[in-house]
Amino acid sequence: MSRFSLSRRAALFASVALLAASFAAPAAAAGDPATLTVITRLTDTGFDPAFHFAEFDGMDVLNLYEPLVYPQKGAAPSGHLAESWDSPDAKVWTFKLRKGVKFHDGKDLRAKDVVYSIDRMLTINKGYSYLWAGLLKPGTTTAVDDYTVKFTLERPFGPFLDTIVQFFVLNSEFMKANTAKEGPFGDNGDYGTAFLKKADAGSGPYTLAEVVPDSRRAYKRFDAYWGGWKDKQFNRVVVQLVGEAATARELIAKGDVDFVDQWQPVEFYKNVAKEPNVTVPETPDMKLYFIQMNTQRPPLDDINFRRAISYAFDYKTAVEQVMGGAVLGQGPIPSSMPGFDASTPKATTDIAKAKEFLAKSKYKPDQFVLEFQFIKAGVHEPISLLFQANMAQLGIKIDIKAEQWPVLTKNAAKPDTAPHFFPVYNTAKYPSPDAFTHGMYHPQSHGGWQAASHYANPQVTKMIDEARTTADAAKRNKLYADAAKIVVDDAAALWVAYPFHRVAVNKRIKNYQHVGVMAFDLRAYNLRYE
Amino acid sequence: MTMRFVVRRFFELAVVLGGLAILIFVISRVLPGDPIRYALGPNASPQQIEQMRTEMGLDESLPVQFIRLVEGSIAGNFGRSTIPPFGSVGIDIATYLPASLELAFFAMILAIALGVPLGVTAALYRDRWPDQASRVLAFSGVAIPVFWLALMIQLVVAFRLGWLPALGRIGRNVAPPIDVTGFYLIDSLLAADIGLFFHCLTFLVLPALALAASPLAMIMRLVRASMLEEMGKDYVLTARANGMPRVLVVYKYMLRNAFSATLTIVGLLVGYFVGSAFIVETVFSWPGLGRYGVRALQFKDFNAIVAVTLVVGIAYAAANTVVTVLYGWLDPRLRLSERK
Amino acid sequence: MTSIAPSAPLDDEPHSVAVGLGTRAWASLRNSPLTVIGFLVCLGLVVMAAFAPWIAPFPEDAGAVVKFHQRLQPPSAEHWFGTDLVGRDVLSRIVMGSRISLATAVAVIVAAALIGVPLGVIAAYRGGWTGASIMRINEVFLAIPSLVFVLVVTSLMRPSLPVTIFAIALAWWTWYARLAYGEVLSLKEEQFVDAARTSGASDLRIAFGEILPNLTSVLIVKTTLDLGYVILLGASLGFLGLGPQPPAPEWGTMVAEGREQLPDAWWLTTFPGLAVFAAVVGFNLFGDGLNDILGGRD
Repeated sequence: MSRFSLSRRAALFASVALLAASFAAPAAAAGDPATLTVITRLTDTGFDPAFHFAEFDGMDVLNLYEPLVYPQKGAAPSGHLAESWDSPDAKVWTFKLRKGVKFHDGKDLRAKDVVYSIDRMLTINKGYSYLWAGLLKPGTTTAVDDYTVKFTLERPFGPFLDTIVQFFVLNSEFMKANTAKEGPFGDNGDYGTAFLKKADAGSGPYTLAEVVPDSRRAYKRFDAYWGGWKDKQFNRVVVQLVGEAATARELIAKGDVDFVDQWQPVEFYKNVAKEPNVTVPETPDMKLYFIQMNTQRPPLDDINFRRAISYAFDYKTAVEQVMGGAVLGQGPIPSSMPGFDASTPKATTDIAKAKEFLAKSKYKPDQFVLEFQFIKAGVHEPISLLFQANMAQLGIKIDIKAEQWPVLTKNAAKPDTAPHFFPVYNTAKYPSPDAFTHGMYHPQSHGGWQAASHYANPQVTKMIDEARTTADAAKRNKLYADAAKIVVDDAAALWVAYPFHRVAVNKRIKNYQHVGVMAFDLRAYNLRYE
Repeated sequence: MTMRFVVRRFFELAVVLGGLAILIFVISRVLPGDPIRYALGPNASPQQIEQMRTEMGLDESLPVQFIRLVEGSIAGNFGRSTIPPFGSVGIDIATYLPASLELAFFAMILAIALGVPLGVTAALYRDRWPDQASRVLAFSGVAIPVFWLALMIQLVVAFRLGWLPALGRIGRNVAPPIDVTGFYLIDSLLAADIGLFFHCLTFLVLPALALAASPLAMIMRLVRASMLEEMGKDYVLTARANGMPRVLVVYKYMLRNAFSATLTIVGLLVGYFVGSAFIVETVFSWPGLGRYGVRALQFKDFNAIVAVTLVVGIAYAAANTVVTVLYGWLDPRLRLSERK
Repeated sequence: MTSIAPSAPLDDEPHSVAVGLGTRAWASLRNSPLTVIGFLVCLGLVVMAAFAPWIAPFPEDAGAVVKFHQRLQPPSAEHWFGTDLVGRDVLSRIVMGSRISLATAVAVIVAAALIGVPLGVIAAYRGGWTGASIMRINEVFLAIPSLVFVLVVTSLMRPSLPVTIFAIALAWWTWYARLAYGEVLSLKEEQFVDAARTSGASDLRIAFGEILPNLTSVLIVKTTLDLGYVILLGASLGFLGLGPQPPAPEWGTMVAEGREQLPDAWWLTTFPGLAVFAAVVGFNLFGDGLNDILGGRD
């Protein structure tokens, strides 16, 4: 090989390497200031408001579509697509729609779109449609005129306004044009479900610009949005999937991304807060972390045994060490939820009292080995270890076991298979204490995994039923809070804490506000850049 | 001969995959846990659960469900996923498979391109330091846990040094090439976008390196062994005695041998790539079938589990068949003993 | 990893293990310090597992213990490998975890060999319909890579130590069946088999009494190498969350848990990963050395 060809080869190699480096570079740079880059560790699951029920799909739905009413922190929902509403009896609800709202194809949003959307939601019967199970049926909602919609419930339901924050409106004509004939929904074919996996049909401030499955999705701003656009709002939003805390840490520290979701380990936020360009807003969340006790399974069917356990757990260590700070629990209703009653007893550790209750119990502490099952994620494992160590002080043996979600949810569904202890989170899906009382301690909710206490107290059931049919919000919330106090006295669970909502935000991002209702925290339209 | 072999192999495969389908189906239907309940959220009503069970065909008897599965698999339709938005598993697989294939092919090329020269070098410098170093490298390569290696590569090369991107398949603000083959490298070339090609290449390097480490070590040792064996053979000694340059001997006689030695383990390596893809794709957030498979396993998305297993089985078998045919074509002696 | 577990070299002829073994062993050991290192690592691992509670500085840390006052401490004189999220000593957990890894490996290999070898011998010796069906079933299990197979089986059952062992053994017996099948096929036409047959020995006796002992050295090498690969596979399973469940100090699980704390608490991933690496290298080097000693080919 001649010297010439060798050097030519080397030159070629060098230029290729340079080329590669130069193309790698733009990917690393932050780029356009009007682009908001969010990273999350949760996989995208589609853009269909009929399916979403969790945080990850919620963010997409929230930016692409809009609800009739919008949740407000610690208060009743405010008007959004609906300008006003009226319900004298909590049974018939009439909404006046905002005029001049445009869908992404330029058509006006009308009452028929609302009717189409609720019927579609109820027919597909997934996601949040459980909120209206037994209350609404397809075909019962009517368009009074182009801008008036009437919902007629089967019976009065006070928290209806709170629940419909999770109902989003689709463009009915556009959807019908993109519906496949074949599908499980009869005349409605597939109801456009296949179409909505890659596109949106909403009126939100952003439209779906790009989807790279399991990697990222991007929205771009919708110029004709009814709210209008101001200076320093984001033109483009990129949601990037990042599976690892270490990567997330690196990206936000370098300023490559603007926002990291709330699903990282506690230590992540502590460490990343030290970076000069990052802030970590910390707000008590409308969320509960609790350890459910199966009240139907011996020895936990004995109230004294349950009370003993409640007093033996070390809440302080759990809150301070494991959760890195949180609001100490005071019963099932989170402290930032409307209707929270500050006179509810706080979670307390008192070994002497625990022993006292144990002595009163008809069971001996060493008579059983109690099952503690948890999902191997987040704080559950350290909590389970702490719990086991604490109970050993009372001579109660705990068998801790990590399980996968589908196994846990199946076990939790029945009183004879539900583990003795099962720690979970409950995040507010709608701004009402209803989810934390009816959703957890009413027999109608048994089977769900946040009702794994299988708690049934006729008095509590009656109070919750009464609350649900009460139209007046203050009276209703009082009933819920009183019911919750009885549940606390019955020691149906260990209400450990109301965790902090923590995210990592680049300091150039302004106006971030925590709402607390599932998925409502990241409406890119509200944010500004510097 | 080859044709007949392929046909027979095809029937054998059908039997084996049928057996596999039965095995996985049985396991998946007796699994503990209830993916439907999880899929519908914490407060799902009994009616919702019932409706979805019907939609998924779970209210049918087991034999009927199995026939549905077999019919569906042949048509490439594996039913619906239990993870929202409950999409078609067939479409999911078509979406994620190309990314995995691209990664595996690239890793394979990397392993051969590095493994063969290193093996040759080790043989040429037998018992001297390059050989010793290669031995240590080979043992480490085979023994290093791939999940750990992947983490360490990511940590050092991507984070500490910042040389290459740490995760994903493409930059956040870069649009993927127009989808023709699903391979970003090929699609970007088809679009005549050299810049994009190199951009995508930078994302491929680290995961491919993690995936290639162990196969590289195996290839290296195999090539070394086969080279040493050839070196002692008469024709090489004769050639060298006749004054043929050492380099030429190496190129002309021994390399061909080294490559066919490599080919013998390529089938096994395909199995390794598929298995390790589950881990490497998880660490590098690579949007491929492995990541999809891990998610399906975690949430007991049984249709997806059955489908991923069958697709992996088919890919594995196909790769092995191709290797066998290729090998027979390279080395006619082996055609006769193909049954072994 | 698993699927590329190199099968032990196949010898063309049955060879006597006894003749010159000692001499050869000595020579091999002297020429190959790597084998000695491998042997020492393996020995160390076995000793560590056997006396784990005495070796580990804080043996109670293997289980459900919380010491929140000392959580996430970097390596120090007191905690050589640092402490984890709840303050447990990582070194102690690694030492105690050696029991899980070694027990998994031994149980899997014993089970796989006990199932695989007899089936392989029968398939090869009987041939015909019996042999064909055994080998076809074998192929079903080999139809997907071991790691994928094991992942699927464990996730569909409840991940735990017994399930891990069961699942890996279910995948692993095939290698032993194949090995035995190949060996016996080549052996069964040998003179000593014919001799036994003419002397009127039963098939069973010939297969297991005459042929099987000739597989000993091949099997010894294979099992040694495989112990390492099974440890590797078990750790991979743990890494994906499908191994023995917490608080068990399984090495792969420890890496996965530590991964959440990267890059700050680097010791949580680094040391358990090194433990897996050391164990696999040890069995590899030792197995390779054994192969030389017992007369296999490189």
